[in-house]
Amino acid sequence: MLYELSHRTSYSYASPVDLAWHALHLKARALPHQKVLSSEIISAPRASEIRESVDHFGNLVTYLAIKETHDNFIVEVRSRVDVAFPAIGDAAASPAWESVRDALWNDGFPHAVEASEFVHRSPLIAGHPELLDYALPSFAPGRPIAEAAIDLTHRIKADFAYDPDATDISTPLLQVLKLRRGVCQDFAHVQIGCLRSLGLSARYVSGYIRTRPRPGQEALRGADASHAWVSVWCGEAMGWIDVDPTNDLVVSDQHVLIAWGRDFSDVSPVRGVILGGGHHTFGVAVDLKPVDDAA
Amino acid sequence: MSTVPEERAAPALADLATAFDEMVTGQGAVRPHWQSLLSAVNSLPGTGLAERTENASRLLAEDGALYNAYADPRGLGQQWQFDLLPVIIQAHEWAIVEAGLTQRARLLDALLSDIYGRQRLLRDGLLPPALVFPNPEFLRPCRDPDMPPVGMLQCYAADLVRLPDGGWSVLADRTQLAAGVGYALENRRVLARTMPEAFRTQPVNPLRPFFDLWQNALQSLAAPTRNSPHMALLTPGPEHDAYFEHVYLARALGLTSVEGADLALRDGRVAMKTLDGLKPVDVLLRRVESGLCDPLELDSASTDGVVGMLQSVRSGQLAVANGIGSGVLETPALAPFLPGLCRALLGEELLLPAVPTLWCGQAVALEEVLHDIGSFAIRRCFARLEEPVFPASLDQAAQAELVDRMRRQPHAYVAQRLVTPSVAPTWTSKGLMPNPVIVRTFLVRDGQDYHAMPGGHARVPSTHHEFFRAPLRHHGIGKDVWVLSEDGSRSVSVGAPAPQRLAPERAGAVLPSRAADNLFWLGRYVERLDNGSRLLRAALWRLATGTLGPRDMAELRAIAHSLEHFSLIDTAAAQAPPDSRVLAQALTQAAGPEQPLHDTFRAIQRIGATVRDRLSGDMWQAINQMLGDARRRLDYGFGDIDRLITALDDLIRFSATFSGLASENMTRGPGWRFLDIGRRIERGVFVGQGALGAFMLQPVAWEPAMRLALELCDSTITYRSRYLAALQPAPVLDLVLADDSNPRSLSFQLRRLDEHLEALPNRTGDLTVLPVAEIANDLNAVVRLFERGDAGKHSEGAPLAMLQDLLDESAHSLRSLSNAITRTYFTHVPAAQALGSQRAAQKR
Repeated sequence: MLYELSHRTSYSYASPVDLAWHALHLKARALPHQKVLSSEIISAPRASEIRESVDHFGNLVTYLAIKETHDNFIVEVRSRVDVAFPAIGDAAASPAWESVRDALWNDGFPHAVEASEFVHRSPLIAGHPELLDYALPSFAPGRPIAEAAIDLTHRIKADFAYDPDATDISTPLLQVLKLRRGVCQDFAHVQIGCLRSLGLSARYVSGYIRTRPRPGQEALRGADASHAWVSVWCGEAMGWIDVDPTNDLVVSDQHVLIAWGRDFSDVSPVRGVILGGGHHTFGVAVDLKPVDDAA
Repeated sequence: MSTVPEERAAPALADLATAFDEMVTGQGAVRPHWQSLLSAVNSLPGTGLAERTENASRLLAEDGALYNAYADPRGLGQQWQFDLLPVIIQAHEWAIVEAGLTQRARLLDALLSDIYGRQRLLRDGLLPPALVFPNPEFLRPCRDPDMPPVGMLQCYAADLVRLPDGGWSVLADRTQLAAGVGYALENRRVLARTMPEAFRTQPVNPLRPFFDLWQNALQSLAAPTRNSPHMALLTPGPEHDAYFEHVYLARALGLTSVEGADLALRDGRVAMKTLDGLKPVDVLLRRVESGLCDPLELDSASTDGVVGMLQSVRSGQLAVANGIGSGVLETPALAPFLPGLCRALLGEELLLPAVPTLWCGQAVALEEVLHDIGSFAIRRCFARLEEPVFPASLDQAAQAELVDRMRRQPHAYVAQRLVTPSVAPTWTSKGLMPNPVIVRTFLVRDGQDYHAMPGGHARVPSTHHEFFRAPLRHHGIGKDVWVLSEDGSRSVSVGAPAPQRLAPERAGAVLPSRAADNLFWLGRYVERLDNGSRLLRAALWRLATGTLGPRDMAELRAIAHSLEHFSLIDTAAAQAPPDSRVLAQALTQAAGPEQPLHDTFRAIQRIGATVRDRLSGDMWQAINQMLGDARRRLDYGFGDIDRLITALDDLIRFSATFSGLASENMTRGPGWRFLDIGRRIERGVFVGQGALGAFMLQPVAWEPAMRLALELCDSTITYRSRYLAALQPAPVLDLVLADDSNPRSLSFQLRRLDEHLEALPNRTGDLTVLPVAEIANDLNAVVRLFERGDAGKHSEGAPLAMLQDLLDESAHSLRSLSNAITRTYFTHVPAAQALGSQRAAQKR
């Protein structure tokens, strides 16, 4: 599916900003199942310096320096991306979750080193016994891992209410678990925390979901801004599968992937340091539409 | 059968029965390489070591060798304890240690390159990923697939202990900052000055060549295109525990010491804000922890680093030593894997073992630990500052709880076997006692290989807790470490590098804006202290006479007015009758804690510490010692007039000493100018508003006003010698206002300021605010008016009004000048803040 993506972030400052530096995770990374045909970043004021690099996880990072004094900052990314996540195959035929876990630890020397990075706690996902308690009903002994992970996705969608006013970025994971409310980022963190509490590997994926649903389908949640979901390691044969606990979906061709990391803190779309500025407010506008939809 | 409750305590650290004794053999004989030191100690004159220890303590205090000195609001740092007896290591023993250390440094360096580069070791099963990925010192933004294979570890420190078999083992690797090297140098300096005779007995390797080598090594880090690279030491600032060491090290290595706020990113390069604008930095020796170096990509709350440092490093514009992220190797859990890594990376057997260490993330190791848990110290792998747990001292329930936690998260724990460190003689009140020692050694990479400093910093821990503690301040007593030279030639084991050819440079070199700012305020505060002390002393002298005559009363009233003007006493006291208890009380308490005079003290001590590297040693001593003593005397004199007067005399003497040293010992660069500008502005304001304050009162009491003006301007004797006796307005005003030859006159201050401003770089229109010629003319005109006027005392209304206007106007001009200087030269940037709390799917 070929998409046109635009993501515009605007900051408005109470007092002038003399200098600003931004680190952006806004450009989609290329993957075997995702071709990035074009991608450009525009800002106002214009950046005096732009650098691009690839981070530890393989994501694209864009650095902007703005020397002009400004009261507003707008940054927009426009991309064309062709995406088709492969079908995951037979979930029931995936290996027992315990065997995947054991291979991830393997007495200190796991085979899948890249996956082993995501078994540990991370800045926004601490370990809590409550996470394990919540996860266990999906993870009966010997259950195939993909099946168990999809079941967990299903339960999170069923148990948690989508409520943008219930939480903010500083709401701790445990609080989200108690409230049973939040947004896609919270649900992704909950699911990752659950999987890691079992010794499994899960990474946080940042991206977008199509803005308007297919004709006759329910509107998707998390479409009005950056979206977030979860990659689960299912052993070397099956690899990573992507599941979206906000919409109870296995990711196929309705998502565009930007970046992944241990949790949100690794892939925050717009980070920055500004001199001055005082209090600030910001707004986000995202549009992801299939190219054949384009009017 | 009744059971005796088990005594649960960690085994003693000092175990004289089994410990290796550095000085005495198993047969009770003194080892040959200790004999000459012992005889030197035994033949010390007087009270011997007791006296010398006191001297050493005094020297350390004079140098300001303190931990945490400026973080404490009372300015009382924790002086470190120093034992005069060094740990002596023989040349042939050191050769073994040195070979082991350089190999280990090469190994750790290669390991760093792999961890931040290709990560081959993780995939090859040589390094457990669980020691890297969850390690908070593994900084993902520092990953670089093109990481060069060597050089990230520029300086390295290792804590060594000698086990009962006589061999040295590594207790801990310090790869983040390799802290403590400055203390080693200071210890050596103090010991050499305290017990010079001890050094005469045998060939001790000097430390200085190591620092020369280091300096050259830093220089070689700069991009080859930089002819004369600019090198700086990045410190978190005076609030940091080890600030003393940072300043000391900056000096020893010839680096400019900078804080994060002194740096800015321009055109992709990190640059220092100086009087001449931004000056790029090529090499940064950091004393700031990795995670705090760049708020854009690392800890966004940090103000210790500079935005864009990582970018600047990536693009090759800036070299940082050690490479940012180097702290990842400080986990003790790496130790068990080093022998294998050494074979894989260097193709060599590891020469220097670590103390027996087990990482619990492997089943066999975990079982080995749990089987004999009482003989280990248990710690979490990445909690560097956390105290280890000693299971032997836990009760059964607590031990079971610990075991349970370890079984649930085995990979998070590391166990270090309790060992018996060697003992060396330490001087105590009971004489020489054998005490355990740990030796911190230091290495530097010079582009080719690592070189060990032939010496170190030894410490004497008294408990297992102290033994395992990381920060030096908790390390117990410190000692020098002597490495003896093989052939007695005191040769240096590090290859002496060819000295860099230096082009002569004159004063006017780079002055960081913050240093200029600090020197300016140091000048102002030292003068402010002097002025305040003079005013207060003048008042106390009069009070001390007991019964107050009418003249005393009038003078006291005038002084009280000036004291109020400078906020040294409050309005109620200033307006109270001069012979009332209210004023007396206010005066005797004006120098008390929390009063403005005290604030001035603290400001001098704080600022003095930050510009220490710009002052001469004697100026620093004056601040550190004289001011400290005066302050103690002032606290002691609180509420007592006579003692207070003595203490104020000391303060005035301090100020005079400081100024004398500034004028004789500082080169006439911009640093000296800013110090002097601050002083002149403050003094100019004081002459007009303080010394001549009595002329502003209505009605003016002429006699007392004139007497005070001379007294407070220290000009009484000059006046007497010029005019014999009679006080008259015109000559008095001429002397304190218009006479260019009197260094306390207003005119003198203005002329000096004019000269300084003329010489400053980058002058802007703002700085023309001081109409020197105009004011000088007016001053002379006023004096002439008084001269021509009736010699009587009460008819000088018109000249008086003009004088009062002029005094106000000059004070105003001086304050405007101060503001203009601040705007022009001292970059006060708005506070930085981090953005990025934007979250996914947030509606606005």
